[in-house]
Amino acid sequence: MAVPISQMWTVASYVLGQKFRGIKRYPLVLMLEPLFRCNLACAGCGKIQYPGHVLRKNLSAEQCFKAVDECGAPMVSIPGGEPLMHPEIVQIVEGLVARKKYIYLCTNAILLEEKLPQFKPSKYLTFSVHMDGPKKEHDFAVCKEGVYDVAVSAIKVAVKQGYRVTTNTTLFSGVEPDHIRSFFDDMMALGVEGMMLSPGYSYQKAPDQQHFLQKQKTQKLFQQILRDRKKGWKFNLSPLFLEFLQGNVDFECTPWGNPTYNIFGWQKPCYLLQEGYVQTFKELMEDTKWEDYGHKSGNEKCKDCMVHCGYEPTAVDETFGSMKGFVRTAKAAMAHGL
Amino acid sequence: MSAAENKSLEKWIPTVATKEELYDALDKAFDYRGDITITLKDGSTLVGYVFNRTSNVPEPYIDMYPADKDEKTKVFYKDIAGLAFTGFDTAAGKSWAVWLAKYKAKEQQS
Repeated sequence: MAVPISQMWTVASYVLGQKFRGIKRYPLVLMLEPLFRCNLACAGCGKIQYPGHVLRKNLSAEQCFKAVDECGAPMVSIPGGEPLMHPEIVQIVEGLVARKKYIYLCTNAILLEEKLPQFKPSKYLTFSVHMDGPKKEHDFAVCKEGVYDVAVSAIKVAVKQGYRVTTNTTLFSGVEPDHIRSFFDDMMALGVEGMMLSPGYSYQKAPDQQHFLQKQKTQKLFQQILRDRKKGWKFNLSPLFLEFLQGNVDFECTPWGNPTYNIFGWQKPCYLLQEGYVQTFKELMEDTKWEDYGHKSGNEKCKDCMVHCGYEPTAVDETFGSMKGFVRTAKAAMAHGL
Repeated sequence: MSAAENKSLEKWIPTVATKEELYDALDKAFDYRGDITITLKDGSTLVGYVFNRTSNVPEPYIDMYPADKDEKTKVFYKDIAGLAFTGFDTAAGKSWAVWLAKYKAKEQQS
């Protein structure tokens, strides 16, 4: 089982609580971006293109806690930028663990070995290591050679020290399905708890606009990658999201499922699109025209998007929203030994 | 707007004589990944990153991070006399094609 029972129980009871109270729109994972600075400049990333004075800014630990409390989501993902470059990252993690939030600290792992002694293993803390495929593909995606080896070394150390570790893989066009299958074997052999997968999104600000997947291509690629799935592969994703990626089920986007907070405020409408900011979570939820986003909306920016921050919350909602959804999830899970 | 299109905005000084021109220029400033210099009607200037624009309210405004301060600043449209795209466009000039060419050249050498 890729996700611990306690975490599944927390998420299930949270979602069911929202349903019971009749709350239609609720956050599942807060995307907390405490900085935009990074020690890499990947061609597919649209998050770091800012003037120097903006890149030097950080959310304080107190600002992070305020956003987490305001949002109320049971899980907090800390992307960036590179969170391990944040001067208060240890305090931020400690504060979130104290709040019993399940944290996914997303890192390229360049600083992980150096910083590990400052953290304590906890069921609430997972290092989600950015790994975009085997050595050659990964180093190519991050535009720097040698990063794969550094990350593998850091994963081994973190796993050995008892930390929860997952990998986080964004797949772009041109990847070889067999290479990715072999990569899954390699990652599981490192002892990671599970793997996260998502197709890339064509950020307007990302330098690379040609290597992102379109919907049908995405489905075909994931069908090829996930065919005859090996029992040893563990995914840190909802089984229904994996079905969605392969085109076996169709979902609408849940853009409010992974709200994003950073130095500018609460980002409208989602983690990927930047159409403005509001200063409170309440404003984000109540004032955003949600009907303008997702496949059905006809919004060009959403047309080909199948990224986990929009569709994983839908899959989770589907799982706990009806007996049919729950049974479908259970079947998908059992079929692949998840 | 694509990164390529953005590139052309660097050093651009839009005409903002009409309301439409001002609104359009501020939309582009919001989309731009470099600093903007705003000239206010009192003659003072502000240099910084425009991260938000709220144009559908009675008194439209932009939010920016001035380059020399750590606090967000709100500037009302009605107070703006002009603007210029003075900062380096951080989203331009790092194309995938350039990286790919470098990578291939390196592969051929090794």
